Amino acid sequence: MQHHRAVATIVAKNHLSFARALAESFQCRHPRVPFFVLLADEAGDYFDPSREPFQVVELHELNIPRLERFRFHYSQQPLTYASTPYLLAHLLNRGFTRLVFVKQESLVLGDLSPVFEILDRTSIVLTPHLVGPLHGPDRIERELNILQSGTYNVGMLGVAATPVAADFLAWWQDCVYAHCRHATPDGMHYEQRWLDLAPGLFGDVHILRDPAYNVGHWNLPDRAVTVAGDLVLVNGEPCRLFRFSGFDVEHPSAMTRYSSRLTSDNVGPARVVFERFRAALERHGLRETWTWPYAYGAFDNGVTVPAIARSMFAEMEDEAAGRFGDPLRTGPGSFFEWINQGVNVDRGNSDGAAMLTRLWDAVYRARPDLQRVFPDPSGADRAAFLAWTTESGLREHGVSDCFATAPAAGR
Amino acid sequence: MSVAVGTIIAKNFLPFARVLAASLRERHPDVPFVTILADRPDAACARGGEPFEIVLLDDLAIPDLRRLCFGYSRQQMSIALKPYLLGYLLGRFSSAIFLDADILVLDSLQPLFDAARAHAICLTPHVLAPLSGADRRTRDLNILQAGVYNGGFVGVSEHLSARRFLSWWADRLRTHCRHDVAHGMHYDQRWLDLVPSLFDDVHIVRDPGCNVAYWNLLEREPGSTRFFHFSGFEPERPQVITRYSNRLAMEAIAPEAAALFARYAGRLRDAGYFDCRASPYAFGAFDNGVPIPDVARRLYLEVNGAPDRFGDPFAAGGSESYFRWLNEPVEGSSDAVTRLWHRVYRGRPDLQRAFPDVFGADRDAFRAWIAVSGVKEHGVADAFTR
Repeated sequence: MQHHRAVATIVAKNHLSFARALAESFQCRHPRVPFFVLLADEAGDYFDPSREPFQVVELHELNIPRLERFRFHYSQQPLTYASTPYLLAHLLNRGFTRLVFVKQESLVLGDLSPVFEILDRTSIVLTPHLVGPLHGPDRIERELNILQSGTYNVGMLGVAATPVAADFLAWWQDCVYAHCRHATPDGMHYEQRWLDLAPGLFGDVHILRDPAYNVGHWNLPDRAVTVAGDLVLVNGEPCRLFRFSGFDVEHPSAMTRYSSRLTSDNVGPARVVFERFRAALERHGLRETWTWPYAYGAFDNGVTVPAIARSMFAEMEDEAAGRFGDPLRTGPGSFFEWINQGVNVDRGNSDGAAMLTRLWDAVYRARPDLQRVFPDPSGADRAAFLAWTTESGLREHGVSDCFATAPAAGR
Repeated sequence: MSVAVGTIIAKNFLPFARVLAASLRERHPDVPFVTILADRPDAACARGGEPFEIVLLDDLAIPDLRRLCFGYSRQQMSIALKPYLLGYLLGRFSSAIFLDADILVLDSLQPLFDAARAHAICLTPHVLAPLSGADRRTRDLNILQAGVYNGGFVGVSEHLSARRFLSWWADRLRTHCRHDVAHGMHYDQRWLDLVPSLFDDVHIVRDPGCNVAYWNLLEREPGSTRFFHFSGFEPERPQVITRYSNRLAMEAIAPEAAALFARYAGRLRDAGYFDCRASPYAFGAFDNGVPIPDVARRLYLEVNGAPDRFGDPFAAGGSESYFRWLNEPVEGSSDAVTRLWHRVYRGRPDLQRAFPDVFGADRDAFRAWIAVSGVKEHGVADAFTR
């Protein structure tokens, strides 16, 4: 039987240079395997998807229920994470039978054929963060970090066109549709921690314990990286997939924003690989793409969507949310208008003072500290709470001035 | 090729070990059953006094036993010893299975013995298929908080990989066997999540007859159980399935399952449950009789070089004792706030908010809180409230 292989990643358009760099690194080793990029965003007039060196998939092509709601629920990065199982199911539906997903901040440095070959025998391939116990005084703290974020790294995973993989993707979709957050005490770390359950739930899972994959800040410098010309070796064998999770081109010596443990001073020869990644991003237009705005980051009047508004919408029942249509729309009857209305609007606002809007009421309900300081926000503490919203709340919650409800001090 | 089964108890759990041992004997009369007594033997619980082997703490090669006995509560201690039990059994048998004491064997364990022999390490996941129902996400998250594999069962055999696993697990549990979900800990159990990726030849046992318990009861076929895990069941409240969750009511489960709980309660009672449940714990108090508060255990593990500095932590007398050190004012406090209560304070953001200036303006209010609530909330004896 002929197997149809494909590789895929997901970006918003300000990360398009990442997709280009990754695609290039993959295509020079596997020129005949199609490379797909899900755009968890909209191209607008910023670039022409048909002119990119890969096939662009758009969100509306995926089988995501109530897409307008899904893409409003999550901010830019979580949306790319939560879309992963939908993209993989979509590509299986298109007839691909061996799929490898690679996260955007990565370079393919070697042959990925072994992963495709494992998929000839196994439905699901997962790659762990660590493939052996850590050593050294910080071993426990580092392993606990992994336990908080998930045993397996979504930097690379594979699925085959089997019923087990289809069940797995349906289950993973069910998990991340509403639960793709960073909430460690609740057992959540975006789309990733859910994968810890997969080997128990689906059985036909191959745990790929090969140090050549998913080389990243969490297993450096424990893995010995050496660079010989174009060849990157890990523990003396060719590196296949290198991950640059949390790498910031503006602060390249920090290696990753997620940890201060690894620096350019202790990373060793791997520093060259990070430098090559930075150069590849620059070559692929990082400086230009970086500035492109996220299509679902603002209401249609240009006002940035506050995180609290995303949670408020996510918590609404389907029917209540449905009456607003696209939550990014503004104007009469919109979600935007609704969050800016006073709570208990029916009581009127006869004293002419500023209103406690639904948005600030939601902020209040989410913050026990505010509840202690302002125990009666619609009565005795109203003026003080509304003053807080303007003096501190707007800044603390990154909320546009247009949500301000009280006259700012000294205005 | 030989296999043995073992468990770990303090004296108050002796009836659980008796019931487990008897249930194993019914199915596998020739398989040795070994119990570690994580406690001090006495007339009621001694080597040779039971129809199974009792191994004492001193028989295990535990490097810093006293530190472990002091640093952990009775419950933590029984949990943290699992790697030592399995290592001990691998010294005598070619494969070994740990079972929690609150497990009952109901059918042949032969497939598990075979799996344990064939692989270095065997683990049983809490759930084996995606859950359905409106609470499926909450239940998944509960498992992600507690650990994918249930620590009530672990199988190992004499492979290098198993030895490596046991020394790694023992190392992590020496200091990090506690309930702290936000930091990735759930006693011994969350550590197991890493095992399939860290070690060679780990077998995930996906047999629905294994480790049937409140977390999977409705998903499992009644009547095909190999071993049942009565996690959180208390014979004092035989109508409550588990103290850890109120999701399942006894009336809502299959009649054969409910009958099993009743039968288990009866077996525990017959095995002396109500006589043993108040058995004193050997490592529960300082040598002056003052109970050791959990916070004092925790702090002991956190203080650098505590074993050298304080000598025997159980000894309350003497100017260098840990007991005395706990009761001294913490650095920065003129008097009033002792090291023990300052450790309580440091662990509780709510107290920090209520008493921001604990060494100054809020000192008296904090002391009043200690007297009225603190001693109760933290189970701290009067000896620590000067």
